[in-house]
Amino acid sequence: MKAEEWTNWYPAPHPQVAWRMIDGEALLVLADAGEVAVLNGVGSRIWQLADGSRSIDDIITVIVAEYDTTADEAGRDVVNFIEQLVKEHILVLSERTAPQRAEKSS
Amino acid sequence: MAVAVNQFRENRYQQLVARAQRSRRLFSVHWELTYRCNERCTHCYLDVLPANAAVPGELTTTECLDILDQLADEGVLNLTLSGGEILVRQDFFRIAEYARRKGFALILYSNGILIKPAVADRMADLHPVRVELSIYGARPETHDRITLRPRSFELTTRACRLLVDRGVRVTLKAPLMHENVRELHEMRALAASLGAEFRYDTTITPKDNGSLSPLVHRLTEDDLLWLFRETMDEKALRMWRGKLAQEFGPTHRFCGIALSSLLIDPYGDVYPCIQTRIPVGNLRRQTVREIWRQSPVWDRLGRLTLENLAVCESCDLKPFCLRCHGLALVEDGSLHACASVCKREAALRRQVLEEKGVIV
Repeated sequence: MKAEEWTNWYPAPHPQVAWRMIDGEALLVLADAGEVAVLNGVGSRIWQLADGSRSIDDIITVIVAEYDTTADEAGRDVVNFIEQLVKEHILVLSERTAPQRAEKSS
Repeated sequence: MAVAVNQFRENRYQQLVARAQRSRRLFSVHWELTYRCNERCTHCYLDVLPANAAVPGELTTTECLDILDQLADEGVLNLTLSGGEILVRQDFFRIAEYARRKGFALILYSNGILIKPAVADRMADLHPVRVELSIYGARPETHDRITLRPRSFELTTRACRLLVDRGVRVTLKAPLMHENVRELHEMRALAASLGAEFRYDTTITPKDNGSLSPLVHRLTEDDLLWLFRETMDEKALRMWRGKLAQEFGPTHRFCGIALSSLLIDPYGDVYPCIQTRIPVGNLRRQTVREIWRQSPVWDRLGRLTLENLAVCESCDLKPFCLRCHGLALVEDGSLHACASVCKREAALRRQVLEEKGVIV
């Protein structure tokens, strides 16, 4: 898929991932692989935004607003980053917004 | 702008855990969801109840989900769910599925008796970090004699196969007893043949109700010497050489008690850990945050460092001792007492390390 074709998709955590934010860093446990991953500051912010409710375009917009970067640079980096996480089964992409992460009613 | 994922960095994870401990962040919780069980293991430290017993005092589903919300808000990542047997709770999957949606890394303890294909499917959908199945021998007759349940070996190994077939990481864990210790290598081979990891533990404790009946199963000195001689391979010897080279400063801790973890029982009572059953609070009357941040027990436990354990400070076995404060309390009468069962193991461990040439 070309980068521009990704941007309307909605990234959300892969079901295998358990995670918490620790002092601004996202600590991810990849249960199926039995491994852990730690994201850097910008990556952690993208992870927080990738909750299934925002498209990649939406995420790029937030990153441009919050960081010292251009739309082109942010677009390229965010897409590459999300592509890597999808390949690693850390994120999944869908064409629609995902349901809320936790509902008490089953 | 640099966007990066530092993946597969175990040392980075350890750094974050160490940081959590330094800042006393609640990071790991062990939750005994029920004391009902469908086995009757002869060595069990719990006074277990029948699987179908009515237990009015158990936390309700609604209470469990509320506690999960609180644990997530507090930043807990690792959540171990155990029993009794977790699967005798009719609402187990409701609780576990909610926990996963809240982002917890789940570790599930089970005996596997109730894990049939449909249950294994649901457990796999939880994406647990691992499922730990208890194994008490490499042979059906050894295992079933401890669980007091016919065919339990067959059912537990079937559960292991079903889970492994679905991509779940399984650990077969063996509490080592006089009755099964000589099957250690066979148990390890069994786990490997099933695609599971293997782990063992020598800790057999009195029952939580005070009964000493489990202690007859504890490893004898001969058993422990056999075990240490069999398992002190090059890797273990390297680890012990490194450990013995370390200095034991006044602030040395023997374990991570009170730093980043706690235990919840089926009735909402909270304790420091599985061995140290000092009440810290109750989740029907207090919040997780109140218990974690306000109970004076944590401070008392936090002071269990070498400088405050006179009996350990002067003991020449301390480099070899895997001291447990909880065992010192329950068996030797005080958190500050010598944990005599740990000292016994330490002396035998030193003897084998001498035999292996690690100590001259």
